[in-house]
Amino acid sequence: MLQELHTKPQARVTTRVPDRQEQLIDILEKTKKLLPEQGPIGVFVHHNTLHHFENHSFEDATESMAHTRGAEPYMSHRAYVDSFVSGRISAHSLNYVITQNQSEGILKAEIPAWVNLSDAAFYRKLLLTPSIKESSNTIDYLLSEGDYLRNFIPQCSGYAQERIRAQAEAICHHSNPNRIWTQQAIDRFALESLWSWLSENVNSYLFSPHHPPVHHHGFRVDHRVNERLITFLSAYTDQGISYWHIPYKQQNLLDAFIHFIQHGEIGLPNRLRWVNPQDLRELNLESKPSILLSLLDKLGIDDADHETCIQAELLKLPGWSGTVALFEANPTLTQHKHAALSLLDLMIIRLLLLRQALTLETDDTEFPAKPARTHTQGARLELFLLFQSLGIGMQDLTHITPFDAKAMITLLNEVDDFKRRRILHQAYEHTHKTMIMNAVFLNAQRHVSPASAPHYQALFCIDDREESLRRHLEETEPHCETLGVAGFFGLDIRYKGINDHHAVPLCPAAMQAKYLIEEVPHQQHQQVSHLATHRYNFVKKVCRNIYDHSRDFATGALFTMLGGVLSCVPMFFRIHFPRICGNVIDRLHHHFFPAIDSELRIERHEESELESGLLKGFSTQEMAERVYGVLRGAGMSQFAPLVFVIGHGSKSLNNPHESAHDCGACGGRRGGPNARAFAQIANIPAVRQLLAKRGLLIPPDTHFIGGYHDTCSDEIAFFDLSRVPASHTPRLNQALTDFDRARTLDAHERCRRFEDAKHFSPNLALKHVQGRSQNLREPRPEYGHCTNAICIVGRRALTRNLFLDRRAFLVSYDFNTDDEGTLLCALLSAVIPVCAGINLEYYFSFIDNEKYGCGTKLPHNVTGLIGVMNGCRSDLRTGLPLQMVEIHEPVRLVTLVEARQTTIDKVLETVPFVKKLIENRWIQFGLINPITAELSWYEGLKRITQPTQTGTLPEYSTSGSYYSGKMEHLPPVFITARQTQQGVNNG
Amino acid sequence: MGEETLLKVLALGLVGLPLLGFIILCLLMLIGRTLTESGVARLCRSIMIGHLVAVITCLVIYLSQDLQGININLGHWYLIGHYGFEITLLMDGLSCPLLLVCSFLLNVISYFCVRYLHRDRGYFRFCALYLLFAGGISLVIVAGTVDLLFAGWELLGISSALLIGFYHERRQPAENGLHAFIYYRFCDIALLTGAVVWHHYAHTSAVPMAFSSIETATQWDLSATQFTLVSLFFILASLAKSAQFPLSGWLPKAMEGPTPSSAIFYGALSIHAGAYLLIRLFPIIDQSFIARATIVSIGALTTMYGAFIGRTRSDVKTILAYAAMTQVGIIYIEIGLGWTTLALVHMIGHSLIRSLQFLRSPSVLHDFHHIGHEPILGSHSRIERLLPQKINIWVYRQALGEGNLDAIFRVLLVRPIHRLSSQAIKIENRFIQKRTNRAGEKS
Repeated sequence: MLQELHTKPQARVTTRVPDRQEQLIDILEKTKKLLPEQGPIGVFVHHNTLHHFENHSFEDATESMAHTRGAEPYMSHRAYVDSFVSGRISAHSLNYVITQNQSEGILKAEIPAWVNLSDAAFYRKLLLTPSIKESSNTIDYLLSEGDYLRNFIPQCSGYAQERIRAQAEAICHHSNPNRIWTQQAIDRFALESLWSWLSENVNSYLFSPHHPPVHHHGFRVDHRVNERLITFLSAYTDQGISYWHIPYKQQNLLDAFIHFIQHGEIGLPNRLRWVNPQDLRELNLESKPSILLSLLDKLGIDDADHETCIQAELLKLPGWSGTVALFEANPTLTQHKHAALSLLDLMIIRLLLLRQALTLETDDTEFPAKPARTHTQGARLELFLLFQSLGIGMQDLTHITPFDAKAMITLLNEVDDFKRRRILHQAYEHTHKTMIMNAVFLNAQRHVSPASAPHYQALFCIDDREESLRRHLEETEPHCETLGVAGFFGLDIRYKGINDHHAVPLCPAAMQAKYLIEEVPHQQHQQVSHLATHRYNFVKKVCRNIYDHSRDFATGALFTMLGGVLSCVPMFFRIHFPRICGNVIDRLHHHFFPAIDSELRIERHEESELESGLLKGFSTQEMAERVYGVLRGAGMSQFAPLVFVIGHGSKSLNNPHESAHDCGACGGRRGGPNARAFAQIANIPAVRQLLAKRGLLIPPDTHFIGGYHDTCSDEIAFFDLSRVPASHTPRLNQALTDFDRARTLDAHERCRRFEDAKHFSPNLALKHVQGRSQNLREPRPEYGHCTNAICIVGRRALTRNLFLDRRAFLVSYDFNTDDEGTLLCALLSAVIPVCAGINLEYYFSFIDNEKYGCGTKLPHNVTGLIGVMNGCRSDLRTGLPLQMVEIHEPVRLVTLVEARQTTIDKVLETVPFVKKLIENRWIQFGLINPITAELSWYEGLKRITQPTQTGTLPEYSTSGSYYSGKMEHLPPVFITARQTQQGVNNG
Repeated sequence: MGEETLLKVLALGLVGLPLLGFIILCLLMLIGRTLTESGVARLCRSIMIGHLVAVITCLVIYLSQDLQGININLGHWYLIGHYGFEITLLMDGLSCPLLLVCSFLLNVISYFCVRYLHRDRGYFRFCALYLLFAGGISLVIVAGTVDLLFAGWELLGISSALLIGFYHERRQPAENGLHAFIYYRFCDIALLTGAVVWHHYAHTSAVPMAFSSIETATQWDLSATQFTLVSLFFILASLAKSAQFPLSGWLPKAMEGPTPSSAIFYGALSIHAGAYLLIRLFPIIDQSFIARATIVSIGALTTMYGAFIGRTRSDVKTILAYAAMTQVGIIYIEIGLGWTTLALVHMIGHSLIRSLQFLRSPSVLHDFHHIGHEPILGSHSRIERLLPQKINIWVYRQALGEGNLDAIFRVLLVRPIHRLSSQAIKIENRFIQKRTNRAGEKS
């Protein structure tokens, strides 16, 4: 399958046969697709871990990666069985996907008549039977020491158990009427008899596909090569940690390496060299592919094996290889220090090191353990478990021939491990999808759009973490309206704050920021600001000096002797009183660097005012376009006197993955400046005039206010409050109180997931999360996007007063304002890749945390400011750490759009990559048709209409009364809040 | 009298409590029971607080006795002829301040760990090993005889190696743990030999009171060569724990455990054990010029070695490891020069600041965001600038390869021993083969 996956997209129409060197380049290009693709950890941008495979179906891609990289494609079989037992997978869903797979021809084997069950019932039992991968000896051990011969397996239903027991009981009493047979004894007798029957009558094998490891040179050789390669690579790619930079850093990777070895290994005995001098002399530096070719030839690798060899070698350090490939494609990612990387160079260096290691490690006899042989014992055990589920008792066995058993094993081979887990996973997702779609659909029917004008409106990021804040805000003040738009608020900018060293892009990673927005002090504060900046830079320099010199030798001795003892004070307080300590530091900061009244320089006065290739600010026309795009896209047509625009980010300590909690729409950075800039732009009268011409009327008394929500500490800060007109003050004060209340409740809702804070009151919870963000000893300052599962594109009326458990990306869109469908096309093409990227990254990091994720973060070690390693020299660990995904539920994003069918058809036509994701099932796409009130979803590109739902969901007065004291994922419920009492919002 | 009994109880408590905790956790593990996470945390925390209380009380008593060193004799473990394994604990100007710092750090970092390791599969094991370490380091500090010190020394070594290999489901940590353990064992042999030789010459295994070289030295009737020999053994013994040249290759590789374990071992306490041993035995070492010169040169070599390599490293924890190694090298120089008080002050300051830096090391991206991405050292005070261009690159290459120390050791030590032992196995196998064949024939 893998071969197939790789060759398809590569197929070209060429008449010329590519020469050997071109073939190598092709192979490297192909290999790139197998490598993880994660940029520097400082600006973590979520993306689909397997995004190179989006042209293939989800199942094919994950299962082919299981073959190449040995990564798990789904959860463990045990997890699905547990889900089924606990009801997380409903029987209905399981039956549904079985039928579905039968109709698609995936489950096609004929079921023996003697089983006496319907297809669905039989397959259900078959799917829930675990596949056995253990060796013969392990199975023997498990049988003698484990529970297999004592208790029925959990997936064996009560009915099946009773049946087996009854048949055994008859025989027991018949054979030994005097003995008192306890239930345990009968069970044991039944199970042992079943096992002995199988041992006697089954001699078939289980078939397990075996992929022999390729180009394995023994552990020591690989270890030696890896260690040296990592040492060199981390020194070369370093972005500012080391004090002594590698010589020749200005050259490209291979040249730097060759010069470094040439000059650095003079006079060393051969044993201590990294590279054989003979190899180095023979390099023909004119063409790199020819170097690689000659090295492969020297290693004695046939042309036919080139691909497997290169792939195997690069996959020995997937993290580093992937980073090199990514930096090669996007050199701007090396922000601070030059590094000209290429995968070809890396491969050459690797082979040079390998040549030397092979000559030195001659006594490396370690080879990987032989793969477990296929064996009958496994087949017997699997059958043993299946027979239990089928309820086959001792009397039934008399009717079964060894031939029947053999046929059954053929069936087990046919529906192998991956297939079983794949179908169970589909059922797992189906249960969830059905539940969510129905809940949203039912909620949509409850609501009529609000008639009365809201007191204020608030635009939030579409982020799943803002779902709860919005819900709580609306519960606190039913007369407000909240909307969700992408958190960069349409502004493709680079931003430079007063104290920032350089400008950073604050827009999606796929976008190129063209405009520079600077924060400048107010006219009358310039003098003060100048002094403050001076002071700030001074303190910064002092801190940097302490940081560096305390690690140096001579000055370090002075520091440690004189100042060392003092460090017990920050250590004690930082660790024991993180919140208070953080507050004290903040106070000190404000005392010495008092906040200066500043504003953003937004308007560009001359048409071509440039600074370092960026336009300095926007023209009025450009501003109007951006505001129009955002407000129209969100379906806003009427405006309250106050409109809040809230960006978000996250601050935490001892967390190298800090930026993974920041705003994805701002390229993994904090979105406060975007919100502030958007509010400032929307308040400019000239912009409003232009908007009015385009039909978007913003009343003159409407004032926009920018804000920033820290999703870790649940702090909300507002910008430029001094510029709010005095007439709005009472409203503003009320709104600020509401926000304060809402964030307290938000903190409370978040705390339900933390074991040490699940019973806290809201106020205590707020303090707790504030402490968490300042806490050095906290590996999970927040759970981030963990548990994300849903994306709903539509009016807020669909989801208002629906408890979605912080699991939904909520995108505001009103089909009424989008007759042609252009808005939805623009919206989905921006939103779906981002949300699906986040969702799939969490999916893969959860499914196989070691291969796709970066394992536990406790031993992580930041290297070169680009990533984390385990210990001092390991592969660069990409993906998400265990602590970030541990409570995740791996389901593909349930994307539900409220739009007309014609609009959706247009989207599928015009936005190919959204179509690709839907067609290849990387997301689960559903549609609510507002005209016909019809719910449907897509299986591939086939639309399936869901029968109309009636009924209702449980109702709770507030979110708090529902989630309090619960730690698990919660299904959606209706929140009645205050609006029923006050009768608002029901139009 | 009452005070003396109290002291005995306290001294026993501060060594025994953590070890008792360790034994309880091990027994629970053995019978297949586990406490809940919070149960383990509570046990661990209360033992650590008990430890701190005991230490502070000891300190108060020590201060109240006009800074006279106190010998707490708890009797003998056993007596054979002239030799008796004395259980003597020592409270003096060296052990008291160190105990205080040690207990403070153990407390703070245990508080750190019980949250940091939340939900980790090895939580139970980690806490058990942490307690073992706490007992070991306390025993090393208060031991009144070299024999007792050796016992603590071993506990320190084993807990350190096991915590390096904490994530033993991956290959690298397990291997690096073993790596460190081999270095430790090599030096343990030296310590044991040193203790035996010392006992042989001086007929005592009691360690001298610190900072009292003049009076105590006269008690012993040893020739200069004998002093040198004993001292050299003890110096060799101290090298591995303090990662001094040339036994320093294991230190960067030890960063495989959870961050707080790296902090307490390689930033704070374990790394100073070697230096502590030398200060403790300084009255002996003081008698030999050669020994002191050796310490100074080892310290100087380590300082240069660590400083050069540390500057080329590009990951935070290794930089800290080399920084720690460098400072301990300087502490060695201070000891060799006879400035033991300064060395003690240096040791205390260094352990506090370095453990904080280790604990904060995952924050480096956050910190750099505030203090700037350009190292000050990278532009100004560069020792490597003093080297000519050609040599500079050569030195850089050696620094990046960590002076090839590991490779040299592999060639000079590991391979010959490995070859020898595999030969021995072959001979043994052949021998057994013959025997079994003969036995088979007979039957």
